[in-house]
Amino acid sequence: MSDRDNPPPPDDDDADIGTGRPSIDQIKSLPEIPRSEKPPPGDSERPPSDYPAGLSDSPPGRSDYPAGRSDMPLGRSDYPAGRSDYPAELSDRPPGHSSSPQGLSVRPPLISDAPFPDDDKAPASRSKPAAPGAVRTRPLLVVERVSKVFPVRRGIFGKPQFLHAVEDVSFYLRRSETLGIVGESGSGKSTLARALLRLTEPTFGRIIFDEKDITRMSLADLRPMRRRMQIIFQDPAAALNPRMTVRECVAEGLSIFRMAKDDAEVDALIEKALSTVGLPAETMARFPHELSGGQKQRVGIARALAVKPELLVCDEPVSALDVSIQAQILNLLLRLQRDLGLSMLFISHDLRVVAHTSHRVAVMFLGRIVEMGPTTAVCEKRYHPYTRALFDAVPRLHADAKARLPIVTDLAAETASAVDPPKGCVYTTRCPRAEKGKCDVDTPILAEVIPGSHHRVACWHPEV
Amino acid sequence: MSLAAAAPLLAVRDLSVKFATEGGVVQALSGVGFDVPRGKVVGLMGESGCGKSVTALSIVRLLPEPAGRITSGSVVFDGTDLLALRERALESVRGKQIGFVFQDPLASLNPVYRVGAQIAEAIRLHERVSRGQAKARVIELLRRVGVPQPEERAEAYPHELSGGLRQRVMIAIAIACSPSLLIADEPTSALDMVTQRQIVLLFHDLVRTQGTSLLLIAHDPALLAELADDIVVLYAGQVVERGPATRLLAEPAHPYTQALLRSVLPDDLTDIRAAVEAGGIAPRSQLPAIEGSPPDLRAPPPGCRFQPRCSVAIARCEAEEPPLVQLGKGRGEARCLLLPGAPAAPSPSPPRANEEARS
Repeated sequence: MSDRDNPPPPDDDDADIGTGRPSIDQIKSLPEIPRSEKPPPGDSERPPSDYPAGLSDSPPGRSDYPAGRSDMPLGRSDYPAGRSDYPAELSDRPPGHSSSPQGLSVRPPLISDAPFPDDDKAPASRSKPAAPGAVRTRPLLVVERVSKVFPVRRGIFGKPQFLHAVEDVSFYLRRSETLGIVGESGSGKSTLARALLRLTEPTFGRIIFDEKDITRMSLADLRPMRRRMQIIFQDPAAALNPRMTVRECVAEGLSIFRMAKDDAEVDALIEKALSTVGLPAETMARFPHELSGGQKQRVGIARALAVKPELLVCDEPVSALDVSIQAQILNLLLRLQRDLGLSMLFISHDLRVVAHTSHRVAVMFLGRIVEMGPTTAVCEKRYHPYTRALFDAVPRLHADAKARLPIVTDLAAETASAVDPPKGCVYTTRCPRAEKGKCDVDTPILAEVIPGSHHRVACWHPEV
Repeated sequence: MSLAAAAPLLAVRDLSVKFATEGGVVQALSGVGFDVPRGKVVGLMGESGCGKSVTALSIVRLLPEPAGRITSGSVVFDGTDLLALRERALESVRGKQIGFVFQDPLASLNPVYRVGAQIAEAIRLHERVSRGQAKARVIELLRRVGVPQPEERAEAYPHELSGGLRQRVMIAIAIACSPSLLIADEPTSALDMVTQRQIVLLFHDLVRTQGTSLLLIAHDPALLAELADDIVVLYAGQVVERGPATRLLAEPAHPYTQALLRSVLPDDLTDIRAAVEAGGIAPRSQLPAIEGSPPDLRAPPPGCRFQPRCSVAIARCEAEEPPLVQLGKGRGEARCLLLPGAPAAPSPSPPRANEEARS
């Protein structure tokens, strides 16, 4: 896709989003991270201007990362001073505006056709004149190199360490689109979700919601934005206050955002929200403990929907539910997206759930996105060894599944820790294809395997 | 009974359990029966509230008393009826001959003791061994269940371990005294898919190499498909279908089993492109979910307990309680009036085809 424009604007391709930012230790120890001799497949065709020197490899501002401090300012060091050409807000620019060659290479493609853009279709180039209504089809959510680092300390006098829960994650989410995030527990999925909603403050990076940078927004300014982004949680029993009736639970959001004039209107809105999720109006008077697990999750969804959000973050919404109830809730969420045009971030450890619900999938491992692409593409062709392992872990409902179960003698648990993550590729320690001196040294960047496919992998030796 | 081998390790017969609650008496189990043959894996399948866990707890009489009461039936384990045993005699069976693995290892492990000490406790409770011997056994057990660096991990507290490692510790405790039967109640439901896979392979290995029998409780049929030799489907406190896993999964006879298997998310993810093209906006079309939820067992529905949710139910299903019907050679039994071999309708019988299907 980058061959289309000449000279191609550097931000033509959001593949650059995940350019391999070196780990803190690398920045500290190496003045400049040498680019690898062998770029990942697909990168060879990309013009060199896609990687402005000093940006994609080693953001200069990053070197002031305080190794021993926990009060790292938000995103402060992320964008170097020399980047003044980059507007503070995307909305400063007319849609379709082509940025200067020095512009940050992190802007997602502008989609002006197809209300439901499919990644398989080439997105409209941003250098082309803006189509009417292009503003509306801009991504709802843009996540730029977000990291979340928690300081951890072993014992009172222990050396402070950092838990890299989320490391250099970038993606965008279009309107009415579902992005699935899949990975094992501890891969940083939930931390990412919380950081995006600023329920926990991201350590680095920027979050742009509807063209407004919310990363450093004051809480007062953030409040009206919060209405537009809602979250539903894994455990509906824990997410509902046991001492509040369903009516009170759902009414809270309505009153915070002053969405109703009087009680009658509140009741009407709650009734509507409940009926949207398939609950009768009588549920209003119930307490959470009187409801089944599936009904509680429906209340959680109703509470999120009552304030008419644009973005719905679903954090393992069906993991605590029975298979039969899972199907009901997934059907409900699919229907809601179709009817209400919601954008959804769908987080699950279950590849089946993500594949069923999402248009695009991002596979996370130890805080990083290791593979991302349209669900169809990722399901058909898994490049990253970890994605393969995830697919292999899906239990098969076949009559002969037992007979097919492999006999494994090495039963040792695979462990990986986000505290002091491995150097180079995060998956090195578990990877069957890891190359010594390469994979454990250089961090692979998230790049397209086949140019234009939107299917990206961060791997030096993808399984082609 | 078709599942029975010559002498099953565990034979549950006509087990009925009642719970006294504020809202009335809950008939949690009504005449549940099945066998666990030696060295085999039997899966208990069904939704929450269908009696899977109550069955498991009743076998070793761990029901919360006095609310829960076994009102009838027998549980014969290795020739002994556990329900007739004295409490002291039962204590030597629990843990020693029957090991337990629960869903939430964090709730089952003591947070203030190191995991090694908790495994050692399980050993020393049933066997006379020195501290040193116990410690060596603990390391050996941790290695057996695939805990890396067992010497270090034995000194860890439960909260310092990941969910997968905690569940391995639970399994180590359960197999500490080499029990002949292992009961695992949703052992992987709290774990992510990769860890789940590792635990499945571990159980597979334990059964294969140690000859342990396993009673595995799970709501995910895909999990049972990978491990179980026989499957028992519970609904509303009754066995609605049971039989060899391969046949039951390939040709489920009871409408509930069929619906449950249909509601599982498709696992063949490679053909998803075709599904997208067929499905329009959503990557996949709607799943065939079972609408509604299991009945309130304080007042179970009349006749067949599944009929209020059943898509093929006829008027007769509401009037008659179906018995378990033999399904034919090599298959098990199912509890449905619509099956061939079910008792004929009392005359005058309206022909099935003319019945209005209620869904």
